[in-house]
Amino acid sequence: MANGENQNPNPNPIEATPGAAARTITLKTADGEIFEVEEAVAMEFGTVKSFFEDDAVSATKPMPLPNVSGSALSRVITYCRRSLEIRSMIPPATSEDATAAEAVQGEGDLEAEKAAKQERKEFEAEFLKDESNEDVKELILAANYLNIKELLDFLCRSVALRIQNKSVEYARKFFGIEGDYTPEEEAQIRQEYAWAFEGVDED
Amino acid sequence: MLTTNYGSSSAETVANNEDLVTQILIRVPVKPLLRFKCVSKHWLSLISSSHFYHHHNHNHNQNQNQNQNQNQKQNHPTSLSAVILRRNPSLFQFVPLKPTKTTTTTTTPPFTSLHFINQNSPSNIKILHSCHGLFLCRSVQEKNNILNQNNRHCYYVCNFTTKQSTTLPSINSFSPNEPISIFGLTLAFEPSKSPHYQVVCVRSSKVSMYYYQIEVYSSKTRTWRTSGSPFVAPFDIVFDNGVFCNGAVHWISPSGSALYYDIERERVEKMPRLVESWGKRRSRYFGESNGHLHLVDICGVRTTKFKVFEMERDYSKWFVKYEVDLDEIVATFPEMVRDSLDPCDSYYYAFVIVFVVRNENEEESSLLLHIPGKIISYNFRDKSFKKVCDLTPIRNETKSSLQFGWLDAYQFVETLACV
Repeated sequence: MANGENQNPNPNPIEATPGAAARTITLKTADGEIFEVEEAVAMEFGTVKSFFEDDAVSATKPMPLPNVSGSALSRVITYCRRSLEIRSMIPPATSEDATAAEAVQGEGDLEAEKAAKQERKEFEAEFLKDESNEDVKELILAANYLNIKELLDFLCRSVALRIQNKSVEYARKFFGIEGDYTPEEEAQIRQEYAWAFEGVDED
Repeated sequence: MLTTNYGSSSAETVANNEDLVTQILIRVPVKPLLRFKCVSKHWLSLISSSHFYHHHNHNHNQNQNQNQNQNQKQNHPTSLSAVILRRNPSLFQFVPLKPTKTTTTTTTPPFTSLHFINQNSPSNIKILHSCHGLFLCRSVQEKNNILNQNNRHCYYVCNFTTKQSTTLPSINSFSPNEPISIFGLTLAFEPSKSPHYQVVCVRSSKVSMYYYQIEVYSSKTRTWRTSGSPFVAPFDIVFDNGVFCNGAVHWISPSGSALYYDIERERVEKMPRLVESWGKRRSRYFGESNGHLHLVDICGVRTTKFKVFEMERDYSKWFVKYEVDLDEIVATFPEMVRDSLDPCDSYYYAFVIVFVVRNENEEESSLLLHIPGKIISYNFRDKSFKKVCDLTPIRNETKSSLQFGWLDAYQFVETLACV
């Protein structure tokens, strides 16, 4: 993954700053919205990355994203942009790979990592705070289609957290699933795992 | 892992995409997953599959590694979530160790009897050994054949969380005329290394009656295979109380010898002898917690003071890990004193060590004790203690009796492991 190139400090997530040194890539969503995104951010999208690697296509031609809506893409871009910023807080000499953390690190590096981790935690907590279950599901589909591993991991974790203390009915509603057991069959499972049905949040 | 081939249909949902559903569910803990088996038949088969278990376990391991590498202070206790006590052959008590949301009310245990293993005679089933949530059990088959001199034992590996069990194939004698002697079986299951388990069996060898032989069962191959060369062992090594720890099965003897079998290297090695203790020994605890071997001897006159020994990872020696003083507990729970005995009697104080719980976070390492009518947890670091649960007496027990020893207590952790 690209480690923060010259990061555009412009907080506005939609427009590219005129005259910015960073190259931009244009994306077009299913509902016709056009987004100009810094190359570094766009390259976080596995789908976009392979599109531009496979094809010697000019970066100015808008890349179509037929499975992603404008609102979803806007959120995705916000996430990736912030994620890149946070990652750039860690000095480049440090490997991202968690298993290589055993390599000798300077005191400063460890501090920076800790700070970055804290930033990420706070950012992630904020990011999904007001999102409805429908929005989160749409984001998951977008992250999956765009092949953004980090975002997908975060979203799946968040959904897991949302549902883990909830009832069976909540899970069905969340995913839009119809229960297909007969009442006897369901009663049997409930009895079998009675202990797992304790301590469940009220719906 | 990620499916990028979509139709452009807007009806594509997360629920339809099995990969995405799996990605979400592998991040959900075991207990809610059991509940979610109720969501739909599709979810039932997904969650119950071994494929799912492998993923779930792998994800869990990755999280553990990440936490450790970043030196995060673990706020959660060890994965040991409960202890199962065998009150009598068919009654089990479930003692949760982790604080739950409903700590005041008694929680429903995952199981109270072993009927799911053998419908016909659940009371004939004995738990031999537990390991990270899987259990090794044995039943005695009825002698239904006069010609059959031996009681054939039947061995099972069970997952008490999912109520699944599998019967182990029998071990064959080396020759049809010689009966096989089985001295002990131990379950070897290390989910952080592999989703598969093994069972280590010590049996008679064909070389001579003085030699033992190891056979190992693997859940991957579903067969037994002879492992390593025949070996001799001190006459009194107890093979049917093996302790599995760090890839090896360990056995000790009352006279102090100790051996272990390294499963990967397929070798039996000597361990440093157990530390000699002064005075008459009343009881000995030998067990494992979180990858460490522990030994406690209760002996002599001052039985309320004792040491917990731990084995070095490189097997160089036993060292004193904790020093324990139970005097305060005795003062708080006078029912521990058996007035009918002489104070110098080693059984004057009624207590039994149930478990030495070694935690990643040393602040939380503790000793689980059984005293009359209760289970107590004693913190090694600050010497504080608290009652974990009451044991309501059943039928023949009196309030002051000790109902069982550590041999009847088994570690329990929820798992989806396939057997």
